[in-house]
Amino acid sequence: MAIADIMRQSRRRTSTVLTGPVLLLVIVAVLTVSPVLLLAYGGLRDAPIGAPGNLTLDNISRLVLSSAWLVILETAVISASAVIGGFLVGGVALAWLVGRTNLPGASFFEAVLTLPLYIPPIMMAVAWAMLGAPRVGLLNVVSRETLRFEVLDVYSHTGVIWYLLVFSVAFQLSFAASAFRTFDASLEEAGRVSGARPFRVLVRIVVPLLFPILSGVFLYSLVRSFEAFEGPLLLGAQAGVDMISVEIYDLVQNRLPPDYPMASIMGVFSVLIVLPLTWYQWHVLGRRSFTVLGARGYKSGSYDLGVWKIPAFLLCILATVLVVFLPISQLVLGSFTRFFGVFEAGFTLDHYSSVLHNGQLLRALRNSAVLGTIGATLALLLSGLVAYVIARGRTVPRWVRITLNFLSWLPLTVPGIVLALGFLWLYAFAPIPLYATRVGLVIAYVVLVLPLAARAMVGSLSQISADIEEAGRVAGSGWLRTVVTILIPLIWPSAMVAWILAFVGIFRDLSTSVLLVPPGQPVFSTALLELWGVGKIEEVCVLSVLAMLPMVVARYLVGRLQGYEMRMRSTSR
Amino acid sequence: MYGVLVNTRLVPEGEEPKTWQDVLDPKWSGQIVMDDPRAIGGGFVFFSAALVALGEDFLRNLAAQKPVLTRNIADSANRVARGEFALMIPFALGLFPQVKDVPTVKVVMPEPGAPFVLQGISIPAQVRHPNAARLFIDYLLSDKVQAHLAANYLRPVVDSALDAAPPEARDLLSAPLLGTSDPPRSEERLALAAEIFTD
Repeated sequence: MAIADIMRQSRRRTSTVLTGPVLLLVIVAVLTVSPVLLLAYGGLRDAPIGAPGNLTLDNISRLVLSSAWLVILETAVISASAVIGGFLVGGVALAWLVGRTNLPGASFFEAVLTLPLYIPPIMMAVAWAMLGAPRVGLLNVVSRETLRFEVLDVYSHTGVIWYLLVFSVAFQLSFAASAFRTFDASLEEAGRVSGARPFRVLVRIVVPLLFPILSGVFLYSLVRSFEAFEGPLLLGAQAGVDMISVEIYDLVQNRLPPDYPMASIMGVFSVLIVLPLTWYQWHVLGRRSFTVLGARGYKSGSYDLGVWKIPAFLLCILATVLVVFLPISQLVLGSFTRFFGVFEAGFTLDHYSSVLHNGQLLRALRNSAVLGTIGATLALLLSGLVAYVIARGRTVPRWVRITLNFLSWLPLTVPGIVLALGFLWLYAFAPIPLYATRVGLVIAYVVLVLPLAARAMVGSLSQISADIEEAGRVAGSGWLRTVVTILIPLIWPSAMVAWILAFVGIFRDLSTSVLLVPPGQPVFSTALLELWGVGKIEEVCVLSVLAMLPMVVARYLVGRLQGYEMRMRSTSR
Repeated sequence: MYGVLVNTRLVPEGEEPKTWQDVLDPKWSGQIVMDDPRAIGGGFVFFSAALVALGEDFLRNLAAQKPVLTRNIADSANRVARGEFALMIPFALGLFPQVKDVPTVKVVMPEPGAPFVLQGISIPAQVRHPNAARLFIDYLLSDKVQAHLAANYLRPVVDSALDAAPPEARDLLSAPLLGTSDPPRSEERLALAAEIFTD
């Protein structure tokens, strides 16, 4: 009798507890899926949405038969070359060196080499455009003097591949290094004890066991390169290098009238192409947090490099110079030059004074900071709820949790420009006035950074046993009180990391902002693009230097928070 | 008005193009950055004017020089200044203030004339304050406004303002005019430009 009563009670609780998670699922589904669905609808019509027209497959056949198909292919080839190259260097070699050996300065290298993830890509694109400019780029000037030939013409296929490769190295290092670091040392030791030499241990034991994570990292990097916008826009456009995000942007911005149907169908195709890759990543990386970027101090199974320490160290120095030091120095130098490329014109502080007195630019910086703060907070709240349901919702049906999990990964599949296009259409027809408003922009931002924040929160929550909360519930406290007094004190470092990453993600973004920014209210990245468009490279450099400081601070904070969390967890074990 | 921006370090004194036909000289091959004529803009104005005044063959030969086509005209001027290219065709005089102080560039106005964009003003037939409108147009044609245009390298329509302009501006702005675009024929000419200037 008593048991039946208890079961009846728990069933009742289940049905009331269910509405919350299902509501959350609906909200997340609407946010993440409706832009793409709307684009698919737009691509299947022969006139823009809203104008009278019929459903047609014409756009699809136009895409397949025209050179647009080649653009997609070209994008795939370029991104693949860059990422494979980056993977061999950054994803495996550097990650292993930094995460698993006694390389001197390993934590320094890891901290610095992951910096490009915090710097807005447009700044890096500008820096490389200057470094590799034919004839006058710093790299070419130096190589012309020493090696008698110019080493890099950044306005070419090679240039775009190089730029994407540099980014890939930073990306892959961040995620792979933590995988290498936390790998259980006993398996390696078993190999060594059996007599295998270190290289063989690496190849036969470590890499195969890490294969799922490494492949997930590789694919994630591939997807980011495929969807790349800033580099191809600045470097590739005039070299005839066509990549998909820029092509879609071009169809909307530079055609009169804008070719929305074609842009929509290309956007949908790009999502369909990337979807299997994202599905695999989700499957493999699953609940792992891929935001453990450079925790300090903690090392397991350190491999002794012996005499190889010196070449390894030099390799890391080289990587740091190429990936971080050169671009940043170029930006700093460029901010002081009176006229970039014409050194005889001398140096000046004039550009600093003109930027600091330019109300429009300072407003753009402030705009980004405000929108970033609001967006990151909203993203944190949403992802916190999502993560809680995924990691803790034992009474929630499995299909709800799995769908929620997948939906929170979904925005990764959608290139920023495609997301923006989808939201543009959504707002044009939404009953609430969101079109060309900052509110609409923030909503798009939240969807953009949701995967990032959700992953951090899910990873963090998964590491905390449910017992602790249950103890609180058994003692009589309600759900909210349990969360506030028990859960939050444990996960606040992760939550802060998630917030900072979301903020940085929003601040860096260009491809989504460029279509959704309200006229006259630019954000940092669009202001930078406008300045570049009118040829004021020096002022672009000044603005970049000014924005660099908060980014470095953000990186530092993330490192400290993760270190703190690691110490907190290890003492509580 | 449009001329040609020349890098003085790459192009010795006296070797700049003096007529439009001079840019077809093989020595300029690969050295030209061009405002893309396949889209509405300065490049297309140049294309239209040259089509009528210099003929289609001129444009085909220009395409054979393999100019680098771009829509980023401000940056193109900078790139000429930096020495990445020797010539920018066409170069809008209105951009000159941007590179005026840079020692490595100068502007030439090749013969027989400069392509130009005509900025017109009109008063609609049904307007509430026609006299106010005329007064405004009179103001726009006043020496004060026209001198301001001239100082910014935009050609004034009033001769007295042209005479009173600073010497460097006056020399450039006094060049004879070649021609301008013909809006009703834009579409067919854009198609022709796309055909002549393929990547």
